[in-house]
Amino acid sequence: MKKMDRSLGRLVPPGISAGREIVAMAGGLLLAVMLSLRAPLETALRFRELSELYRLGIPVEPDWGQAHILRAMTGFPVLALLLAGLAVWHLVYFRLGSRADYLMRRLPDRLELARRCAALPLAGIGAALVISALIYLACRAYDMHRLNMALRLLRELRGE
Amino acid sequence: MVDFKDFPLRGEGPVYVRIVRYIRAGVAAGTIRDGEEMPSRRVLSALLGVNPNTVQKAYRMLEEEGLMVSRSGAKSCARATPELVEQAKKALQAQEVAGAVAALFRGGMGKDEALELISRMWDELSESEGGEEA
Amino acid sequence: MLEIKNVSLRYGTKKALDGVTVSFAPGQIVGLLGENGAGKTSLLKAILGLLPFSGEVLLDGESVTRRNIARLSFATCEHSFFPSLTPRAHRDFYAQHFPGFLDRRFQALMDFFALPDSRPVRALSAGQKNQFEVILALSQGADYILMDEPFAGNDIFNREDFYKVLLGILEPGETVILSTHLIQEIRDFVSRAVLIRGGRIVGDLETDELEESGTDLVEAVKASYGYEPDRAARALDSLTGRQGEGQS
Repeated sequence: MKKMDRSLGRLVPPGISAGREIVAMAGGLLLAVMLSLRAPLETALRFRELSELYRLGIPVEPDWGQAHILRAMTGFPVLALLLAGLAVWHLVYFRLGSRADYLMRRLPDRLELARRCAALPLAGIGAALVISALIYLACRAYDMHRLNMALRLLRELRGE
Repeated sequence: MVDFKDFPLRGEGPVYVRIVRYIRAGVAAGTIRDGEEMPSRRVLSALLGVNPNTVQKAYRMLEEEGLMVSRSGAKSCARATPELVEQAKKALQAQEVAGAVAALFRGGMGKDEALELISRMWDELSESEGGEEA
Repeated sequence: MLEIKNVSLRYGTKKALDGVTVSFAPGQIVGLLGENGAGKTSLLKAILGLLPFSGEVLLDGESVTRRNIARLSFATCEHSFFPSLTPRAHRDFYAQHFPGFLDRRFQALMDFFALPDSRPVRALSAGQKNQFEVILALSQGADYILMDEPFAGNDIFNREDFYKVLLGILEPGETVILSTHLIQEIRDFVSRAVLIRGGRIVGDLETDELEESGTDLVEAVKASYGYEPDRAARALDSLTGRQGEGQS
């Protein structure tokens, strides 16, 4: 952890542990990913339910939209909001116990303050965007796969 | 190096005048020797806690009176030749008297009365201490 | 030359600075004097760009931007250091960001005040924190060192020590602007006193001139402020007078 703190120290306000924040962000992402597993789970359950109905001879049209995927992925926007809050917290941090913000705002390097406040949060939001996009695509692909299977079973049922 | 250990921190008049008086008193008393090194402007300013401009002023005045001389680019030294010592003693004595004269003058005493007073006190002192008449 | 031209600044509804025009030349040690709320802090913060203002602040003819801001340093009674960092970490931070950082001066001052190098600054006493704040401002390598009541909480021995060290350590070209209400104390130390009141400059005195005219700085400041020495006596008079008359 200390090594990570040292090499990444320039990305967080002085005195804050970059390593700890990264671990927390990774944990948050993991949680969001795990929550998003509800979507394929729900897809699988619906498919199984349909299969049962087809076996009983009931020709239900498969129709499920994307709502369940989007619902399962709410972890990501929540995470993004929390990370934005972290950036604000970083800014406030400079005014706790002293007015270090006076020093930060006097530095010849204009980006120093912005970088230390927003670097990790932005990286986290970026990761959340990429991961959520990938998960969304994966869920949709799985959905399509199950949908096609359901349609095939329906056609068999109808004797087409 | 001229010692400023006993420089009075609180005194009458502007600081630069007090510095000049201090050197004059040292020369008169013989505690400052001829050619003794003076602290640099910056060092003295730090020592006494006064602005360097004040020290500069004092040094300039000392140079004008001949009590100090600056070698080109290097240190400044006090001067205390026998003539200067005499001059300094006289200046100090004049300083002493100036205060008393001003007090008597403003108190409304006349000149003859004042001279008589001085004469009487001199005689009394001579008797009790057995000193010489100057 | 640090030039402040017609600078005005609002703090909520109040006008904290009102058309302030003043200049500071290299090598001056300036006392910025005024009562609380007079505008001393606002002026210093405006110069540093920490508060928005109208008017101009010019450093050798150019506006204060990131390109020349390293020539200004700041020590404030609010403290602008990082409480969780050690002095050594501060040294590294400053050296990294300010190309003119004076490492030897920093070390010399740390030694003089005997401040511990490897404990976080928040663990230092209040007086030591003030000392450290000032050490940073002096070691930045700035030409103009701005200090806002840097000695709040230090005892007088501390402060006198400090003035002496400052006088010894400053180079002839460095300017110090020190805002304080301790007029008596800085009397000998400054070469110039700028008086501010109600957001306006009400006096600008060279201590040289004061000495020539035989005026004491404290008296000159009182006069500038329209201080009436018999105010207390008159108030007492009117009070006792009223008592003598009974109810009216």
